[in-house]
Amino acid sequence: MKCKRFEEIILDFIEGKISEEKKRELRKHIEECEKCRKLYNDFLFIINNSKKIESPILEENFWKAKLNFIIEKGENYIHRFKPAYLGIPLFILTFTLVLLFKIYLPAKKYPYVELADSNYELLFSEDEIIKYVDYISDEEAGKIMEFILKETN
Amino acid sequence: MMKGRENFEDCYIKYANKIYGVAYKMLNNHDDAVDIVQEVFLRAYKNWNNFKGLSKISTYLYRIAVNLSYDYLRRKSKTKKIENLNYENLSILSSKNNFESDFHNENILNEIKNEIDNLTEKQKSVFILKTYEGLTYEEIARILKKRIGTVKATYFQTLQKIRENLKRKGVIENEM
Repeated sequence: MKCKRFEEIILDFIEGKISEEKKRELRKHIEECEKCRKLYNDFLFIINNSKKIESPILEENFWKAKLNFIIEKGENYIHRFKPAYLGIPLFILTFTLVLLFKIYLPAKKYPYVELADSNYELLFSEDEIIKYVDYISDEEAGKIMEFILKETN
Repeated sequence: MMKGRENFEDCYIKYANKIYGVAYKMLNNHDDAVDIVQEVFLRAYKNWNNFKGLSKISTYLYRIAVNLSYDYLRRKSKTKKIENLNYENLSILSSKNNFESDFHNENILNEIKNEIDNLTEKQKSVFILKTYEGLTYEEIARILKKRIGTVKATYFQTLQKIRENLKRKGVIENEM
């Protein structure tokens, strides 16, 4: 076994998580290789001594005394006012109102004008055409005005 | 009242000391460690009804504890603080922190403790969860959301780092 391979599985070896065959192979390598033997012993040294440094273990009563605080705070959080309680109904109401206005609001009716060539209804009132006449060319504005004046006469 | 409150209380009593142990080793401070325990379980309480058994409760608790410990470490200045715990004021069930009277051993343990304190957040969390909590690499990988190979490599590198530093200090003999 090569040292690099030993390093790859040394941790599994220390934890006893390898097959018996592999363990034999590793033990043999440790006997033969001083460098790997040192590595193995040093790792064991560090791990075993680290375990001696333990944190205090506190009594159950200590934690039980703290438990009520957690439950109280947790319950306050769970039953807190959530803006979503107000937001969702408000959204539904707004949406409904918009739909109502869109669907049921009476459409603006313009006076019926019979055009010279057809029976189509004008889409815009005379006032609106005059109002928007700046946005169309003079030629177009002239044609529209001719239509209107022809029909109203 | 939250449903399953009895289960929460049982879980709290079962894991409080474990979470405390992890936080204490990360932060080396009793008060901070207790704060971490409280915060971990408060978060667990708020989400208790959402646990669908997809992962173990312990995985969740350890993960929150490690993340909160990282936050504490980043916020506080990294002054080395050897805490003088007044054990009379703590309700300690067992004071396993009684080093052997042998001065040489006490020195070794102090040096190792210093080395652990000086590890990076990532190294410290892997080392603590592996050495003290005895978790498998798979469990640690789930807690830290890392690959198993990464966790294993980190643990190996951490042991190497501690080893090299202890050799430099003469705590471990150098190779001939």
